[in-house]
Amino acid sequence: MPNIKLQSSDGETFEVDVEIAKCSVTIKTMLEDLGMDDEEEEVVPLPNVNSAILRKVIHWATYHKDDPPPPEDDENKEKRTDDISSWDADFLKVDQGTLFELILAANYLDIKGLLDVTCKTVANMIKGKAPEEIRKTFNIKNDFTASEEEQVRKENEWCEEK
Amino acid sequence: MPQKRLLPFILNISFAKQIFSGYQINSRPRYHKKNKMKRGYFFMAQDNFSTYGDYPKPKKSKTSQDITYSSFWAQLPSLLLHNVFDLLSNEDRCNASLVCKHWRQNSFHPKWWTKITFKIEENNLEKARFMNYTFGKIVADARIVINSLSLECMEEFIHLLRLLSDNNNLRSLYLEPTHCRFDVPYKCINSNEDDPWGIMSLLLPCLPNLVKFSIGCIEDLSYFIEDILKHLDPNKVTHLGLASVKDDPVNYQYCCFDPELLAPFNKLEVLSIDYDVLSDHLLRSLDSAKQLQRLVVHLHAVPQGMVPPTNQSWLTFRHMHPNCELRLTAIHTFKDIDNLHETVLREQMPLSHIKLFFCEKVNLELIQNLTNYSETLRSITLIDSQSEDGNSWSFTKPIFDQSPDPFVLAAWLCKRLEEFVMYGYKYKEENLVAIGRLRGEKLKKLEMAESDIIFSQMDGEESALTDIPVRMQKPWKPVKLSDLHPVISNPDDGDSDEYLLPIVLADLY
Repeated sequence: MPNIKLQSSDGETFEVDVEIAKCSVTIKTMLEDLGMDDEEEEVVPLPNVNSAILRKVIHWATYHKDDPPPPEDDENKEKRTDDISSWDADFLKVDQGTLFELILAANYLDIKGLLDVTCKTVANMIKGKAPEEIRKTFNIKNDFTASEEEQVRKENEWCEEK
Repeated sequence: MPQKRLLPFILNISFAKQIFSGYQINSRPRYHKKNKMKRGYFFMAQDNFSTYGDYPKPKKSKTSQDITYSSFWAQLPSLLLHNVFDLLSNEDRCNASLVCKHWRQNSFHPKWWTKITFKIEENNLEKARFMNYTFGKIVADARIVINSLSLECMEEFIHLLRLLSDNNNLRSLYLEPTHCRFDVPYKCINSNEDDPWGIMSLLLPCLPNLVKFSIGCIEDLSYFIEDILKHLDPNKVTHLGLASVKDDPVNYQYCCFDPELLAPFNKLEVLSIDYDVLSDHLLRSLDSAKQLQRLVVHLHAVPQGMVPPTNQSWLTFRHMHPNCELRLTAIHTFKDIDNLHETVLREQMPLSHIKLFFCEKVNLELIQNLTNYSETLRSITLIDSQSEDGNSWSFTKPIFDQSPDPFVLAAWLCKRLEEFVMYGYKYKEENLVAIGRLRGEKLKKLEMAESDIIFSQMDGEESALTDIPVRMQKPWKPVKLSDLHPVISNPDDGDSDEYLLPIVLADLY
């Protein structure tokens, strides 16, 4: 299998199997649009992904290289979040900063499988929690004033009334 | 991967304040209509209107400058936050929306708020405003419950319509007013006599996308049916409510439209119309609507010179629509009630529901004729106010009439009868017991005021209170006087629209 070179934002170069790199729709499109063929020693610059995250992404993509293409989203079906494979769960045992950057990278590189599993991980961190607990989990500052908070709570009650 | 686009929810509405200096008193006499309007000047609360531009208005936080650190999660791009929120239940999403302003702004995506009931009532206008501005532009299925006799509520309603007319998600629009007419301020009347509030000009842009639409029996809108039909997409509409309730059931302007306009509506499942427009031609124009399940007809008066569909037309209609039921609802038809069995009823009508509201007397022959519909009849509703002295009119037959009680007869012969509701008429306990026995557990609804039942001191086990629950196989009690709608217990107390509109509007669901 031919390899291509991916360059992270901080200048590090990674040599990756083309087929693995193509799980990123962004890279796949780039290769097709630019007509890069396999002989050329060109480097694909990825200015939005640093080396630590790119290494993680390549690790994930290598493990999942033989996965069948992810099914199209069924808009009407309630989505599950409890179907994360144990390998993915282990892979995502990372600090929140890394998880956050993985989501951004998965979105930028357009890797649906990775985006799904990272978003599910975040959703699972929200589920069943009260607003204050969610803030604690994600270290989010409450930027509502007391009166605003009272107002939004009231609005939520209105939304729930039938 | 095709990304779902999350449009940031921007509240950017600016409405000109409209201040009316006064409004006109509508002094038409009406039957059972409460005169709710007060004479005088009307001023809008300035406070409430200053927030229109950007509701809810965030107040500047005094401490915001001190906050230098905020978690990156509070800045997760909207698109990704949407991906995460999409995985949450409504309850979890609700909690998440209270975490911070950025998360809150992203919690109002059309996908999660498809069905909204907008309640525009005088006692909670703040809520109405919030709901209007938050969901008016994104909702898909809108039910608008509105106090149509309140100027303040009408103002909000107009603002909501303005938002809806700019909403491409809208698929279903049901109006559910408290009364069949709008209160109209004096200034509005001068602007355009036919459509003083400008409602039609706001409704028309909504129509081409709609699958379900109801004018909510509003008489003022029933005069625009031709416009409405021309603007709707005949290949989309499945539910269409065009029937009305008349403010003055004796003197009203007949609305008419070319029945041919209905012909292209091939997806219709439920249609409501006024009796005035019913004709052979109209029934024929429904031929293409192969999935028609329900035709609802509102009868106010029998127009002079009108040629209603013939028995043969109804036979053809049944043949074309074997699964279609007819619900006939007579509202304030006191002028023509005596002859209804001859002028309106046709043997081949697929009559499933008959409702008689405030017709002021019982047409005995009409009730007796109901057994002609023994294969189709499912529901009988007969509503009148109890008379002013607290007594009901007695449901009596001429002495020479030896036939059995017509309701008992209907219970015996009509195989599908499952609902019997009667208010305002004295009825004998033994007949009620007989109906319970004849229908048994097939009877799903049996409603009668306790004060309307002539109790005959039957033995414990024979009494209605003991026997009927056993027959129906569920708890049953007559309705207590205190639980009756005011207009039922006293015709001078309350407005009949408030009682009957929710019932007749339910025919469209």
